[in-house]
Amino acid sequence: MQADKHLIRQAQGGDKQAAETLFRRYQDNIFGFLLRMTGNRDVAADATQETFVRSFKGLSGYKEQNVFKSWLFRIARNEGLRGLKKRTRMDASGGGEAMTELMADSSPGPGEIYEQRQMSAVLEDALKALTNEERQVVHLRLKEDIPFREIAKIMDCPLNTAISRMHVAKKKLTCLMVRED
Amino acid sequence: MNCDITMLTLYWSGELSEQEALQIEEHLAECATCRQELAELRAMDEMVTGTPQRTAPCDFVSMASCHVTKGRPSVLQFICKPAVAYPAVGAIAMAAAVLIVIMGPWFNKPPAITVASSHATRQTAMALYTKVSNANRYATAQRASSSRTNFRARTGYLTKRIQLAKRRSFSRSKTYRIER
Repeated sequence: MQADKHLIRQAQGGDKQAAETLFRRYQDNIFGFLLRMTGNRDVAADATQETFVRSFKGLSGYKEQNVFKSWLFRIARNEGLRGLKKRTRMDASGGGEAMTELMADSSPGPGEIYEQRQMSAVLEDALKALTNEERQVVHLRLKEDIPFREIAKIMDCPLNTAISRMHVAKKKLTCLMVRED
Repeated sequence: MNCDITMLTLYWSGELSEQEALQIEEHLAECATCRQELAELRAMDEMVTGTPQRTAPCDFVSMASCHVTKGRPSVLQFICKPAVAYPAVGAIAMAAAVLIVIMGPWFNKPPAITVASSHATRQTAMALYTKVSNANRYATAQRASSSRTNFRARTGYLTKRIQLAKRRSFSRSKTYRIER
């Protein structure tokens, strides 16, 4: 398996196949992050595709001193926020469901139902109770294993803010899990 | 060392230098609160990491790649595609057509300055035309008079002149006689 750096250079040289291979490595991660962030399958899918469209277009401007994964997640986060805004606007104009209802996955597929049965429903509910920013920090640090310094860059906030969000999330999760038990 | 939640979190995250990590470890040996904090972080890590990784429902990368490669259509593709494929262009074309139909008479009407200038030109042209036609008529009359001689009138005219001359000569002679 080729290293990311090698693929990035090839892709920047105009190799479309290399770019596709590179992005496909992070496809599930990006979708998982956006699903956690937006709480809606359709919004997450749209944001994922838009993330890759922007990544394809912006790959020529990517500089090697940045961590590629962080660069990609930064684009994904911006697209997720844009998708959420759009969704909120649509709901406001159409008088649709509230944001809290949106956070619950509205249309789970068969695979989704299977996964939901497997995973702890309590933990899922507890994660949904977090704020969007807290959920992002938890997901990026614990699921994607991205260091706090990179998370701060992705979320465009100071390092201390990212860490304090993690601690607030930890407290909330602990309280919710204990209450459920 | 006092409790530093930021340093403790970075220690748990593995983002500290060896020296900093040693300092934290020394502090942890003494501080039960920080040990509790670290244990909670590790527990949360295990709990959340254990949740299954979501898989993308379709190949977003291929879709995005097609979208990027497609780019802007060529002129031929643009023409060959049905108008429905370009709703924005269609809307603009429709608006332009409606505007042309509504504003058509306005476009035909010449501006005021053109009206004034065309009026002046027309007047000048009319004057010139009158002059030319008069000149033509005069020339025709001249030509007609020169080409066709009315002999009867000419004879009458000459007879009158002769009579007048006779009368004058008679009166002159008369006067002469008196003077003499």
